[in-house]
Amino acid sequence: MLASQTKMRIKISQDFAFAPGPRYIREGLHSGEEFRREMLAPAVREAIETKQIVEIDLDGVAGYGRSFLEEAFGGLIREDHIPHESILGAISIISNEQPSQRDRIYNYLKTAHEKESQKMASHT
Amino acid sequence: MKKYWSTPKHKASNLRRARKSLDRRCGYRGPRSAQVSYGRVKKPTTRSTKRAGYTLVRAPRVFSLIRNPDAVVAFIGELRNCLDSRAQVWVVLKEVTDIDYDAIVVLLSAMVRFKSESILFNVDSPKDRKNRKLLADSGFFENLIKSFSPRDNYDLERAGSNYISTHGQKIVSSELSSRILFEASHTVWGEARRCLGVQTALVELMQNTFNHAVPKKEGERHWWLSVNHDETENKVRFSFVDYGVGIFESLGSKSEDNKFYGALNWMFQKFKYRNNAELLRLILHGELHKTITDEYFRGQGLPGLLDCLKENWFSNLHVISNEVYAAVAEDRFRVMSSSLIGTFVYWEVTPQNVSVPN
Repeated sequence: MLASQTKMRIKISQDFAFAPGPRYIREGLHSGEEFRREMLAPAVREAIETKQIVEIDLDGVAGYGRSFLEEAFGGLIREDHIPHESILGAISIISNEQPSQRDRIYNYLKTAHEKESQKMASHT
Repeated sequence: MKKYWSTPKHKASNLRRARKSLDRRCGYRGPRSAQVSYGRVKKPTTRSTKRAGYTLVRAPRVFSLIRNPDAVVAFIGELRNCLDSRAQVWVVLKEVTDIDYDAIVVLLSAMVRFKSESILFNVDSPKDRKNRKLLADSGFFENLIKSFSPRDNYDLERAGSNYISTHGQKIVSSELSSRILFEASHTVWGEARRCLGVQTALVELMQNTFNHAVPKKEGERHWWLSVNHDETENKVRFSFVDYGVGIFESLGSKSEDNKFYGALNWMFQKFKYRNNAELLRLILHGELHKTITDEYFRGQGLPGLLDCLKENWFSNLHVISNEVYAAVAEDRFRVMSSSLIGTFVYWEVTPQNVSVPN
């Protein structure tokens, strides 16, 4: 990240929900799918286009289901087809309350990238 | 002339009258001692009349899924058989010597399931005063006289010390669980705090019920969560149960288009596990999740439970599903003599566990 890059900011507890919910919209309120569609994917796309950074603040919530985070971040590659490298260059994760979540999210992105690349290779 | 009352005719008439009079007097059933002295046939007692038509299901003496899982799981199986055959049930609790909070969710959920199907459900009180109070504090007896219609959400709450709140829902309700944890933090730490790992566990368990309780159908079964606030020990106990098919039945019944189809075969080929107790240990350690190649991103709920335990968000984790009992915190996994059609998870939050300020 360059020092001159401007930042967009998403604080999940304030901008989305205090109690993030399940993976999919059909499973319950405040899902990872809803968060990705309505908030994260548009913000990441805009950040890539305008060469900004989206700062995603995970702190202040009641707690995250694993599936919520996987769907929100892994889904950027799997469903929204945003390239892995572009995402890494456009996001910055803040998780002071649960530092392990940050690594987990980068791992979700990496796994989604690898598995989707494998799928693409097997189809071609 | 011979006096009339000394004639045989009068004597016979007098005897008939006396017998009729005796029958009339005994007709109202009077004191039982009088009936016996007259040599009457013993009639059924009031108590057995009350239970007439009910199937008696005896609760185990130690009524605790944690301490006596085999017997309680067999008891749940009997209740399920009655529900399936629409037989009205009388649960015999009077012989119970020890009852734990985790058993309350079993009783409350069974009661609601019977009543919502319009099947009579009744219980007697435990003889032991402490157990009777525990059951009363849960609001069980108050709810016993209520009627329940089939619906998606049930909230059975009761105020007071050591109170228990019980909730039944079909979808994932992260807002409900966050509210429950807000109240729990007051009991444990005396102030509002956030238990991030407990919220993770609850959301994942609700989601598992939504997705896997009934093969090929979503959101079919309720999950039941019972929360006991122990204000003397600053401890909150969580008991989560669903009456789906259970973890191993669910894995074994996946269709070809499901992400878990064939997963058991791959797991067996890779790990050569001997029974489902060993399989559960592998699942909790994330090995099943690693074997899924297609929808690789699913199946993280159970491994997440173990991670939250390791990160000390809660303690004393127990899991029961189908024939497997696991005291996960002690790394004890074993096969039981009876099988639970469903999944039960228990843990505790104490001041020694991790939380973050609100």
